[in-house]
Amino acid sequence: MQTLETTDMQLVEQTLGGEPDAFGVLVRRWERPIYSLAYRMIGSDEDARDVCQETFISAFRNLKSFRGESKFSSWLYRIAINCCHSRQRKQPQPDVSIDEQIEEYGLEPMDSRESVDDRLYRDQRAQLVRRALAALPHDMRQVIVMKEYEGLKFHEIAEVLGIPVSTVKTRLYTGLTYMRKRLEHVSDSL
Amino acid sequence: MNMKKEKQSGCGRSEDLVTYLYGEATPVESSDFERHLKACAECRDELTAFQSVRGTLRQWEMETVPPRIDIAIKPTFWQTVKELFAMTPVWGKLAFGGVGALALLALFNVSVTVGGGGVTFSAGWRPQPVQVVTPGTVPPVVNPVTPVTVRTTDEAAVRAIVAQLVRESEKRQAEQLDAKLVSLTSKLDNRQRAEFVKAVSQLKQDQRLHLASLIQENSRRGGPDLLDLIGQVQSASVEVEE
Repeated sequence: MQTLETTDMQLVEQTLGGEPDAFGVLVRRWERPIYSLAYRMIGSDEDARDVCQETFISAFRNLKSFRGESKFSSWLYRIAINCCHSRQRKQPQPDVSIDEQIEEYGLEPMDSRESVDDRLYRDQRAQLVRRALAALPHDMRQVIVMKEYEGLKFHEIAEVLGIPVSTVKTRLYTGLTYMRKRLEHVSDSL
Repeated sequence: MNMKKEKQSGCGRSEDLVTYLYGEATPVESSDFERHLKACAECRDELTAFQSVRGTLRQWEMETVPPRIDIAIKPTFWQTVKELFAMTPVWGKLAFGGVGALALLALFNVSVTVGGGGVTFSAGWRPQPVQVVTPGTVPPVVNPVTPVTVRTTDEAAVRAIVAQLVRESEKRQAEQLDAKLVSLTSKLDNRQRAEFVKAVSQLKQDQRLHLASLIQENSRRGGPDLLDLIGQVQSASVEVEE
């Protein structure tokens, strides 16, 4: 049996009409993607939780300004991206080059003979990817995160960031090029 | 290494490359780019490298479970009132509406008066107290704690009512006086008639004839009352007998 799910726009209208529970449905529906985005962007569980909370509070406070010209999810992603950006500005990352990061953290994976525990080995690979992403400029990282982990289409990313689709593709290409350089050692070693 | 500078592939088809890589190219675009790949070693190399990068990126799995966000949204005052009103039964709503209407009327100081001058309606933010002082009477002593005030608009109606009551009272008193006068006249006539009959019965034949002539003459001249005439006849009779 097929059930008709209430659309995001309908829930927004219900919330504006005085039904706070409707916004709770929106939170349940989008908390996971927003947390995922924040976690990939910031790389910290605690900060990602805070960003997730800030995003929904900000969305509720500014819900009247959402006119439905874009998708609700795009609007929500944009708020989350801004929250991530402002949080990272408050806690500035050291502006170091990839080469400097390689020197600081090292790119060599753990020796496979030492990684008896598969989980530990997987965590180490994830850690390397996280570091590589963290070393990217903000604008490239957010495009890669939205495309690779959130599965957004090019036009959706363009809508979230308010930039042309061609710019999204160019940033993605540039970001992947740097990630290639950063990770090719890892891939070879893995 | 300048990371801010955005790169382009050597053949200038970087956008087509990522579009193809992520499967967002149309069939026509895909066919076109695949023909290009056969001729462009650089793009083939980048495509393979990017596919590898994507595989590596996928190795970063979510280590943590996404939180369940709890946002406590407090309802506004009006939302609370609305919910309470919705839960209230019909009689409660009617009572609430009545109290609200009364409060509103009291707020606007609405006054409706029905009197001799018809129905008067007045409203205003502040009442204007006016004392009613009837001419010729001593003004009432007003209690300073609870002043007795009458609105200006009511004064005319009160005066009209008083005037109407006075007129009705006067008319009623006049009617009562007329009725009493008629009653007294009737009693007096009956008494006079009885005395006249009694006096006439005491007269002799010649005296009755004399009386009849006197009555006839009296009515012609508009003379004294009949009883007086009878008295004259009786005194004349006594003198004759003597």
